[in-house]
Amino acid sequence: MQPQNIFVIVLSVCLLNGLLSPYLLVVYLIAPLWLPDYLPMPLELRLYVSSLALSTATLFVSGVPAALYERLSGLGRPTSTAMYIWLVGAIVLSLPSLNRLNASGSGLVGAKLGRSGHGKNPPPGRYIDPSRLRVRPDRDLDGDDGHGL
Amino acid sequence: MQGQNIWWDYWYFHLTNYALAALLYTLLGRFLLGVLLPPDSPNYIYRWFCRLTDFVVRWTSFITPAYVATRYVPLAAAFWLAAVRLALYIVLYQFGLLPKIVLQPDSPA
Repeated sequence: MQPQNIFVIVLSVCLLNGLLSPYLLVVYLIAPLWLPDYLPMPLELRLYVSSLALSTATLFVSGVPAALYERLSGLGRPTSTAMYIWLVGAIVLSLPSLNRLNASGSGLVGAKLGRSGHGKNPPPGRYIDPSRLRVRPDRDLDGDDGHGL
Repeated sequence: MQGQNIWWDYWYFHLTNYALAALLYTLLGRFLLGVLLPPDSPNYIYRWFCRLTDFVVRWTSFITPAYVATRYVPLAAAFWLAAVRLALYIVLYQFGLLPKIVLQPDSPA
């Protein structure tokens, strides 16, 4: 396989890790430490940036063994072997995410679809049941006919 | 915060953090100028950015796969510097070596 094809797989694994990693919450909570103060962000955007930061960290950290292999072997150019080492590093770093993905079937709604490995009764508090999500109408502030202010 | 000088009592944190931040933003500037200018540009700002950050880029090249093009290595270096800043903050916090900000209640007028 060509190095660029392997790199696409590495990127996909890193993005998956950024989305599903259990450490995403930690990165999100310590965002005031690494996110500059001059970038005021809504919470949703901060979560998105946290996911990107985790993906970027996975990409660079998993590349260290591949870079050391290239330097120590004296190649100095990208080879398929080094890219495979990069891919293995990314998969190893993404193991918690892959375990999570495996445990929940196809993501957070997997439990609802009965693919969680827990049957139709997943452990309480671990999964989001979409059928219990409700859109609460805004409170009628003007108190008349419910058509807004 | 009474009875302490928030700068001189914590100079080791401020100086290190400031140097790392200056390097980080210089690396980002080097990358942005590298997009606009050719690698051998005589632009003196770009040349100085390169001169200031060459050692970081050289270290980062050692731990960055060769597949990453040379022009993107400053971004990788900026990432590692941000990680070092975060680690510095967390380690100093663990040892209680960071300045503490304590809000005092309003005194009666």
